Amino acid sequence: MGDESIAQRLKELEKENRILKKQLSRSKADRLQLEDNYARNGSLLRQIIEDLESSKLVLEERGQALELALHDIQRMQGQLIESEKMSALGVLVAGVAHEINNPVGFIYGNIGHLEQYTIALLELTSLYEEIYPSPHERIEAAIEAIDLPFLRRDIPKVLKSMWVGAERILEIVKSLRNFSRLDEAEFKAVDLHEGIDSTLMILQSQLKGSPDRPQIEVVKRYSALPLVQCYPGKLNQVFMNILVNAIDALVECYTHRLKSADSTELTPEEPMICIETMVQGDDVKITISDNGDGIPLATQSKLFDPFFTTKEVGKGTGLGLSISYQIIVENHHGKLSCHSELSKGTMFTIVIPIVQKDDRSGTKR
Amino acid sequence: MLKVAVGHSNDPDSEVAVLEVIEQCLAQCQPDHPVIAGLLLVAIDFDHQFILDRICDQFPDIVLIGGTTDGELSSQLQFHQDSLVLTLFCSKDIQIQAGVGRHLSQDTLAGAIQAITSAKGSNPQTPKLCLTIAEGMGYDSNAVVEGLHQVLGETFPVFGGATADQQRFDQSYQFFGREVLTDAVVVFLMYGEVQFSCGVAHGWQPIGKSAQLTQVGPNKVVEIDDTRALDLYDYYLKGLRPSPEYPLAIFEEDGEQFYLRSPIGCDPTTGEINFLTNLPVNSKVQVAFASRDDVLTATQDSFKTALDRYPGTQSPEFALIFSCCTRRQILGTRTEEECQLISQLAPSNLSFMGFYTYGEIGPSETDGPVRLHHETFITLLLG
Ligand SMILES: Nc1ncnc2c1ncn2[C@@H]1O[C@H](COP(=O)(O)OP(=O)(O)O)[C@@H](O)[C@H]1O
Ligand SMILES: [Mg+2]
Repeated sequence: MGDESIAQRLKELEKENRILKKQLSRSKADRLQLEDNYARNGSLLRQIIEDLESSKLVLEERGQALELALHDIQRMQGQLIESEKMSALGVLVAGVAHEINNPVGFIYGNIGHLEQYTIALLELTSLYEEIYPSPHERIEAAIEAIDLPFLRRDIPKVLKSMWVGAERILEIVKSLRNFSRLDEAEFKAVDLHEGIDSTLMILQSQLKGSPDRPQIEVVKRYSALPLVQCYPGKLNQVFMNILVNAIDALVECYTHRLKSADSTELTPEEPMICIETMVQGDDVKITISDNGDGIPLATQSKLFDPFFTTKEVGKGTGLGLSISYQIIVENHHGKLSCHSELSKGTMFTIVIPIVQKDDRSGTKR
Repeated sequence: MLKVAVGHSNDPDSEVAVLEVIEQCLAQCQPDHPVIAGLLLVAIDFDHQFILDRICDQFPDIVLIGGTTDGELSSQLQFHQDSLVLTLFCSKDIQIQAGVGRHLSQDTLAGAIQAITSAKGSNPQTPKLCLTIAEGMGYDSNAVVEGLHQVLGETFPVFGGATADQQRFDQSYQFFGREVLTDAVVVFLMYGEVQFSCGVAHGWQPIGKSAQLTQVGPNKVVEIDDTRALDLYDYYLKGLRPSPEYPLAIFEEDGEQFYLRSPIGCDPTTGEINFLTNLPVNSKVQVAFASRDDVLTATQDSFKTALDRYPGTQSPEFALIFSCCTRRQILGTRTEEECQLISQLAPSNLSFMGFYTYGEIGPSETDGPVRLHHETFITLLLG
């Protein structure tokens, strides 16, 4: 190798050395910068992910809130439909009751006169017989034709049955009026037993037996109740809803046991609805129980949901209990609960305060 | 017709380096295309005065401008961080006139206007475009662009970059002839048959929560959303200081358009954040983020756009690149890929030179009004 090329090579090596030195001094600074950036990157992205997650949560919450709102709207809509129906029924019932009330009044009011008049007439015929023991043959023939002794025996019975019938009509009319109680949109202190009884009266035909099923027995265990402040019309709606459900359950239970093969082995139980009332501190408690099939645990939690029904289309609306719940809890500040055991029966418990809070403070003044 | 000669040396020794680039340039020069101007980009650690003198001794008739950088790139040597690159512009039918404006920190507008008027001199012609190298620190860099607007008009094509000092944020230099300057702006005005096109892209995306600049000061933001400005960054960086990799996206009034401003420091006691420009009070901002891939995709977009828009039938002679120093910082060892992308996309024989800057000057969104950018890659094709 010549001197010149050695010098050249040396120059190149020196240059390389300079460049490497420079790069070395640079690389540490660059590395530190990159490491810093890496730390920032991690921190930033972690926060962004956190934010995204929490905004996802917010969205989910909003979704749930919307679902709840939708549910509420459905409930309200259902309740509107049902209360509209109920108030229409109330108007109808009130109208019918009013129309029947007067004619029945005539009948009932005149049965007394009729009774007096007939008794007077019968006494008169007896007097005739006494004074004229051997009457004219035409009279004798007429007595025979109308079977006077029978008439004498039967007239009091006929009158009696008229009394019973007219009284029953009066009672029904009174119940109808009581049930609808359209006039009462405000809290009124009323006798709850009256409301329960009128509702039962209206349901009488459904409680009665028929060729395909036995009669449903209603057992009342009423305690002495004070007057209770309530919306009487609305409470009657609740009694009605719960009683109708109980009747439905008992009918269903009966037909279902009839169908099942081992029906003979079951001790035939009388279908029965038991209504019990009692005072409990500041509240009254009313339980309505039936000995039907009961409600499976899974559906118990849905009972009060609007539109929840296990009945066939056209029969159930699924609104009865949700409306009842609203009436008891929201309108009366009370409690409505259900206790049920499969194949034993179901009991609904209503608890409402005897005196409503607002009114209590009102009476203090 | 424009011809260029590009010399690039990574020898840290000033004497050797300048000799090397002059040699390379001379080898490329052709006698029928006279050398008219030189653009010099140099790392901070060189003996700048010596280098300028050597070049001016060699080419006494040319106008020369340049400045210090945060990394240099060229078709000769690709990307280097401690190097020197010189481009000579050679042409018979293109004229280039140089100008300088000084004391930007005292009166930025006047400095910028001075640079243009001194470059124009008594030439009655209208220039075709303007290249500029401006001080990158110590004043509101926005105002330089405003000054250029005032003399040239908002949409007059201006391309350039702000000088840098390898992120020491201490002192950077501008070159004008044999003069080593700071606090100055130097310009080339190009006249005659010059063809050009450009592409502008950055790759950053606003990320995280939207906030409002509620109190600002000279080159700083004092409050965001009525609390310490630093709180916005602390929320994401958990006490790490804001850095240029996480710029603020500044949203234009009523729109989704935004531009970027890089934080370069902060005062943890007052909670103020420092920038290289003033920021508009009340504007909506968001912290922005880019991955290395985003950064490189933007490089590609910028270069492709410029190529697509290049007028005429001949391919361009030369590409001038202004890329933000933060891009280099994020890319790390992948910084070379910016250069490689250019080499892949460019027509063969395209010469190019460029540098990593403290601010890029060019049109917004490839054709709108000229503005100062951060985090951006600007491609200027010339022919
Ligand atoms: N006493 C009861 N025994 C068994 N199931 C009952 C009883 N009361 C209510 N349910 C169940 O609750 C459901 C909802 O009742 P309700 O809200 O009154 O709607 P509906 O009677 O229209 O179905 C009924 O479909 C039934 O399945
Ligand atoms: Mg029902």
